[in-house]
Amino acid sequence: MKSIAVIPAYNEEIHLQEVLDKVRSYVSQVIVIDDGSSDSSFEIADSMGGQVIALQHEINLGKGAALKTGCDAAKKLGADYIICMDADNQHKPESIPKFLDALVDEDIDIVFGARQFNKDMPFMMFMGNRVLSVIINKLFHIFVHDTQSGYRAFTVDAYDKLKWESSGYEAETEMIVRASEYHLKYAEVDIDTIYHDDYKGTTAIDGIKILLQIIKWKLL
Amino acid sequence: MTNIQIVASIFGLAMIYMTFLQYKRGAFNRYQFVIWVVLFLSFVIVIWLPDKFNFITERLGISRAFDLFSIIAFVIILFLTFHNYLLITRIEKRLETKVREKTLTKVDSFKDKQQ
Repeated sequence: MKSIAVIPAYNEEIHLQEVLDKVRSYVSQVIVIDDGSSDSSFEIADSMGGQVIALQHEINLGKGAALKTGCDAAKKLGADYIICMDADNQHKPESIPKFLDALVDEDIDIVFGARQFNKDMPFMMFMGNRVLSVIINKLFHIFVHDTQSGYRAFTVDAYDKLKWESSGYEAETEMIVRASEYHLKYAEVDIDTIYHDDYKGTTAIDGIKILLQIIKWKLL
Repeated sequence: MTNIQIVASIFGLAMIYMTFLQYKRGAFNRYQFVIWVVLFLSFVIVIWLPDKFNFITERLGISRAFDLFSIIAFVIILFLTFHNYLLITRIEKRLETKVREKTLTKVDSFKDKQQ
């Protein structure tokens, strides 16, 4: 059983080293896709050697594109299971076994990490997430508590069906929509709510873009 | 001569100069240069001689030449927005494909090392 962690990184030199140090003990290999960073994210990943593979987009394409490159690379390297994580130390690698257990023991296609909605989550993020969950459920009949969590895992076979077109933050929502379209078996595991940076990640504008995309996916 | 005619004329002439500059720099070919010059020249002419277009406005049931000009300008802007959107989307897609393909070629070397 080969599990590969895919970590897209954009200007994450502060947290990347720590994330990679912790993650590599839980998976067979780690693929870091530096998405055109202007800091030393790529150099940090590249210097790790061993089971850490550093890839680089020459220009910044967006999280969705970086994730897709990472997952394609994982597939090429013979992964059975792919775990997607953020590079900003929001996701505790200690939770990886929970994801893998669900995939392996319960024969699940895709496992979504669900953060607890508590005081640690910014209010806008909480509201946006709730609204998107309800809309996705109404339109696509799939309920995922945390639609914007980047911590998720799936089988390589499921990846072929999930493969998203979006190059930005919409990719995570597109995965949910595709999981519903292909009737993939899904589960959710609780993960901790950790925010290190108030200014990075999805914004209200991204939320509106995601909402418009959801309508487009439903209509077209 | 009204103030709006002066401002519009300065804008039209400035745009003709910009078009000429882009043509000289090689950004526009002769065909593109002519199209844009005709467009901005028409703009200046309509601004200065609105009465000369009464025969068109009367046929279309529009009261003033400037209204006709506004409608045409709006249609052109909509068309250009659509055209630019298509172009940007296509370029973005091509760029993404190229960058991702180039990145993925490096995976093969890791694969060889693995075997």
